[in-house]
Amino acid sequence: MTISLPLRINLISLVFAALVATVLTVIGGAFIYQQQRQNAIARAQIASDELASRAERLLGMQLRYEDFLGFDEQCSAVIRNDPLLSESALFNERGIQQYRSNAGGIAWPIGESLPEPGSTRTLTTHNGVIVVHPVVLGKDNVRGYTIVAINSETLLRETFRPIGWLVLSGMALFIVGLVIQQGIFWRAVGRPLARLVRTADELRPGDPAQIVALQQLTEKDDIGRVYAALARLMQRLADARNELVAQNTQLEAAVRERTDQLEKANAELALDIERRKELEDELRTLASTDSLTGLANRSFIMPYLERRLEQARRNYSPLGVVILDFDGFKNINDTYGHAVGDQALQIMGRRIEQVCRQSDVLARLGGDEFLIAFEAFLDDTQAEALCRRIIMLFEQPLQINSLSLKLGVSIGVAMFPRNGSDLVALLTAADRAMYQAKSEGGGFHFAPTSHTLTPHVSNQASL
Amino acid sequence: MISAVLRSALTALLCLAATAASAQSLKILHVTSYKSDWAWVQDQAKGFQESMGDAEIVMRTVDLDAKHNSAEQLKQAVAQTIALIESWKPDLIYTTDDVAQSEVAVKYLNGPTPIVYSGVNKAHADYGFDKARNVTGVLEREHFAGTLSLLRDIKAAPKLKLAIVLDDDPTWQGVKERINTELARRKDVEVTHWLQPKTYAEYRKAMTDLQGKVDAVGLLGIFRFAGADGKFVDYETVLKWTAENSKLPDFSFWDTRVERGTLCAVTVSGIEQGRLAGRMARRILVDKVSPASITPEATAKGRPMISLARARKLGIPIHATTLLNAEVLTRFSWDPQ
Repeated sequence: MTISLPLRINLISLVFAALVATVLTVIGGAFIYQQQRQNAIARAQIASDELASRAERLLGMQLRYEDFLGFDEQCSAVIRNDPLLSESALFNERGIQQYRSNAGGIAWPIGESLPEPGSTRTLTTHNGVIVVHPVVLGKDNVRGYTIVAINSETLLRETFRPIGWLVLSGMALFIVGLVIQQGIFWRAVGRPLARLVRTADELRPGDPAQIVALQQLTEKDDIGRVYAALARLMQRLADARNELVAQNTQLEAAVRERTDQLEKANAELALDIERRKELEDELRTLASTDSLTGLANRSFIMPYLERRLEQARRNYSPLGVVILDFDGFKNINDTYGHAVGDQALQIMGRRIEQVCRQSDVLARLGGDEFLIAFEAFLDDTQAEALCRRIIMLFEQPLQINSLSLKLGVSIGVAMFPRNGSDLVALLTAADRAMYQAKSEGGGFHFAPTSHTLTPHVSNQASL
Repeated sequence: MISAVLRSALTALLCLAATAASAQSLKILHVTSYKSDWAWVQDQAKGFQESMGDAEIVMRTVDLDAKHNSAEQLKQAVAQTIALIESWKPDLIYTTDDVAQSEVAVKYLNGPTPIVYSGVNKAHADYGFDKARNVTGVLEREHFAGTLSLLRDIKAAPKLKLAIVLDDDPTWQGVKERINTELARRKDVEVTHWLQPKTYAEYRKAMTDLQGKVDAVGLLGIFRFAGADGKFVDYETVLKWTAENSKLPDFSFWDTRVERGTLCAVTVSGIEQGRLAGRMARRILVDKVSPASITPEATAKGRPMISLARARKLGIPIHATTLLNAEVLTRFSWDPQ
């Protein structure tokens, strides 16, 4: 349950007022009690004095106490119509009760200091407050005492009655005050506050019209200051928002610019990578390829043959090496120039490549010397067939720059492991076989078994 | 010769001064029905002078002494009084009690001298005062009902039977009539005997005979009981005998009676009547108000009195409340101080 602010303020002020009223009532009650007590004592003094005076008059008539016929009525008369006094009595000088107003009577205040002639004494006994007055005959002949007791219950009642009325009146005033105050608070606080809350609820960030509207609410009270503060807050929010938007715009532009830069850098980097890859490929190609013919070069084929030999040695698989050397190439070079000679090498390289199998590797070892590494053949006929197809390639003339040129070829063939167990031996054998063929005017020649050739291998290999 | 001349001159001066003083002071003649040494008369005179206040008055008193003088003596006293009035020419005549009215005041009705009276038991018209423009005063009205109430407090009885004694003074006729009027409307009291003894012996016999026959005796007129020597017996003697010999409670209406042993009375006050008469005289002499404009008044306030000495003698206990509400006398007037 939510209690509205005006009601809360009202209740708080009410509680505070109630606290103050309670304190004032308690203080007032104590004051009233003291006043009533003093009043009661004063009345008791008057009554005891009057009773003593009557007793003195009767004593002055030379009557004895026992002759005070109906003096009980006098005891009653002095306290009659005075609710603050409960009873009265006449005692003789020895403290023996002679007459009394009530059936019970008052106990003699044993041990208490009794008043001197011409004075009264107020005593608080276990029966309550009593006032003692001496009965004096002549100047100082004390013949007895009159005692008047104060009615404690009435005293309290007389105290609480005005307090009760005060409290009831106060409560009634509080209720009336609460209603009036609630109305005033509602008009002064509740309604403006509700309007303020409504206004705050309806605020939309970034609406300058609302800021203007808030600034026009010019109440000079606290609510007006809240409106002004709200307007300033709205203004600061709008400024901050605008600044944020501007910063976002700048940031987006920067990001966009940066993104473009990054994208551009990435593109350049990708291009660089591509170029580098191409360069690497080119370098790799250049390292393993003959630049003139596009075939594998010597740098490539030698390690390759080493790996293939190792593989063939593990698998016991056959591996053949064919070395080709053109016949008549020097004349073309010398006659038609190196450009023609280079073209002749290119044409013949492409032709030899066409007759090789996919698994065969063709390389240019240098000049007009070529090498074919081939494997997976069943017997020498397949190598021989290859050699014959190559020889047939040279039978077709070369058409270069309207020249029709003719080349010959000498082919030497060596087989692993028959013609050598290592590369040097194998190449030496193939090289010798090629020279064997060259010496025979071209064609091809298989290398003989290795024991017959072993002395020439090192010389050839050094070539 | 020279001294004789001086003496004559001095005497003349003194006479002139006295005349001048006399002319400035107000001359008041007090005519009493009784004797001025009687407390009742003194109380009235005292009250009268109190009310005159600071007015300069010269007051002379003439006693008719009606309670002691014979008819002849009374006639002589009245003549002397009239002679004094004629010679002294008082500014006002103050007449107290009924005899002074019947013997003196009535002779000056509608005269130039204003008359103020007090202690009058008869009615204002009984003396023709109602037709006189120069007479006003205080009517004495005994408190019979109050006295009965006091008596009833002392002597409780469902219906009081009373005997009332009075002498042959005509003053008492008015009192008797008023008592009878009061009795006519009351059922709690009855007067069984109206006694009017001529002599003191008759009185004593009557009182002796009354013992045990009535509850109380009212003593009105007790001044004119002839003794053995033919003279009226003093009322104090009568009352003393009564106190010593009667066992009946008695009552009256005057404090002088209670002082002399009558048990109780709600008294008419001599001093109060004197004060009221004095206020009337002052208005006439000082304020120049016509006596005809001042309505005669009756005494209203009574004073309860109880003779506790008599009560003790009778053996009657009296309630403390009754005693406290009354003026209580604990001794007889004849007791030693």
